[in-house]
Amino acid sequence: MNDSNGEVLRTDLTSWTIGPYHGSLPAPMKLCLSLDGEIITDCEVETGFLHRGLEKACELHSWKATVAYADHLDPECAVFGELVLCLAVEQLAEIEVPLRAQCIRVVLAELARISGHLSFMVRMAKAVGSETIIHYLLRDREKILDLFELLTGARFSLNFLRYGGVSADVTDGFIERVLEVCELIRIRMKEYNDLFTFNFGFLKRTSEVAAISKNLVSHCGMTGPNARASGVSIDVRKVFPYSGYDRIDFEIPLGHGEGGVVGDVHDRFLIRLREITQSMEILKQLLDVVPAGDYMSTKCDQTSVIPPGESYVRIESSRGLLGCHVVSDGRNSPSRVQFRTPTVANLLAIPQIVRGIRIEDLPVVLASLDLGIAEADR
Amino acid sequence: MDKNQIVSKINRAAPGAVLEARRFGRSDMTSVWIEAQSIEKVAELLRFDPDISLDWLENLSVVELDGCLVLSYFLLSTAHPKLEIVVRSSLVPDTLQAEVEVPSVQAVWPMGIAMEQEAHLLFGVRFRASSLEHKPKQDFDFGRLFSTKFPDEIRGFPLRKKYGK
Repeated sequence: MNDSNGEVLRTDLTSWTIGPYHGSLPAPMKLCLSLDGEIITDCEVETGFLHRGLEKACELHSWKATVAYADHLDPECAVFGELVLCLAVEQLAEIEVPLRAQCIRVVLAELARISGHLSFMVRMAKAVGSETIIHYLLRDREKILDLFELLTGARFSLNFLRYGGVSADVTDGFIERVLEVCELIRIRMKEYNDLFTFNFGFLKRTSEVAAISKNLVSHCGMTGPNARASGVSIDVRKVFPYSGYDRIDFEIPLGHGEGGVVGDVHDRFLIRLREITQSMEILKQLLDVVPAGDYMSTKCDQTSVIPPGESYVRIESSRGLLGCHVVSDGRNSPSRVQFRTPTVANLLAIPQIVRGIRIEDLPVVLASLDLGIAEADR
Repeated sequence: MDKNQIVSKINRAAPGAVLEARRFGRSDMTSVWIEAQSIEKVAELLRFDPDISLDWLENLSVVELDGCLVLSYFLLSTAHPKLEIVVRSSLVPDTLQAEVEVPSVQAVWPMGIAMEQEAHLLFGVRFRASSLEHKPKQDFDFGRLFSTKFPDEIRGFPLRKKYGK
């Protein structure tokens, strides 16, 4: 390595092991790095530190209790775990979900998506060292959590969805409050753009850093915003619509390399910012015409046994494609509940994209992947 | 390409491999049951045949049913988004704690590495290295770079039904 005078610094190759618990890591995981000076030359990823036996726990409890376990698949966006499990069980038991319940579910899912993306931005702000912005973002995410509390009584682990619908109808004033929060976040988007998107310091830290090619996306099986940032147009809400998404008009933002290279850290940030706008658009369309009727299928008894058989359902969570394979042998508890989570594919990409970056960029790159280790380790 | 055409192609590429083809649960997906040891040959056909081109292993799920381990490979095609197939095979372990072995599909679907590691840790399904004569060229090497590990105190395969009993 040369300094400014062209002198050889004679830096040696070194090895670093970071984790499983470290401030620069978004969650428990271990990275074994090889460094040439400040440049990462190789990286090995080790996971499994947050394994909680979630799928086994589902087998040991009743069908009804399983929803509460699915809630903990991804504690940050609990609704998606509940939703995918409920859809799988409903397909298996051929339970019709009333339109009103579908609408409430999608409202919760889109609010969770906005909340998840705001949390992502908090981690990005922390990684680039913008302490002030963290408080602005958390202030806005609190508004979403307030909405969850108003509807479900809980802020994170909602345990609100049921097989055949939701556990309660929308409370008085909920719809108006959602629209108010959408309007507030719409105004704040300009603030976020000033503080992030067009901020010189942020651009320097994120542009042309750790770009993910389309080829790598397909090799890892990446989905969600990380895949879309690289220009791969894949969104379960469009390809395999569920819960009435086919009746909603919305766009799928794709990365165009505004920061310099398609699929770099800046693109992954911008995609989520644009998805927040699209989620607000979905919410407005939904809340314009909330269908009247039941919030719960009248034919579904929560204590009833699910008939023997199996099903597989996929949804679009805030991190990507979330799948659920459910098997019933006709007894009171599931024979098997298996989740396919998007973070696993994102973890596979880490060794490929950190090679050649500087060590100080590692926290920014990891934050940009929006890793949900809780859902990967289960 | 419809279900019957795909099954005929598999039968031509790996004679005797297909045991049964039927609907997956109550969904529109097709499940093709195959003989476990021919999974790699079938995978190669499904991935590289231009008419099928199932290039995405979306999920690998293992289920224990009556002492039998059932592997389900959920496959999608980015070229034909509506084409979805579940390739399934079953294995019976010799004893409660014995591992079972099947060919790995990593050479065909590189994203399978994490799923296969998980299936090994949780169910004791060991995936044998690729035996394909002409291994597809991989642009990325995941083998050494990614690993999932559990604490040492976990003995056996936690997701088997008799675990801890």
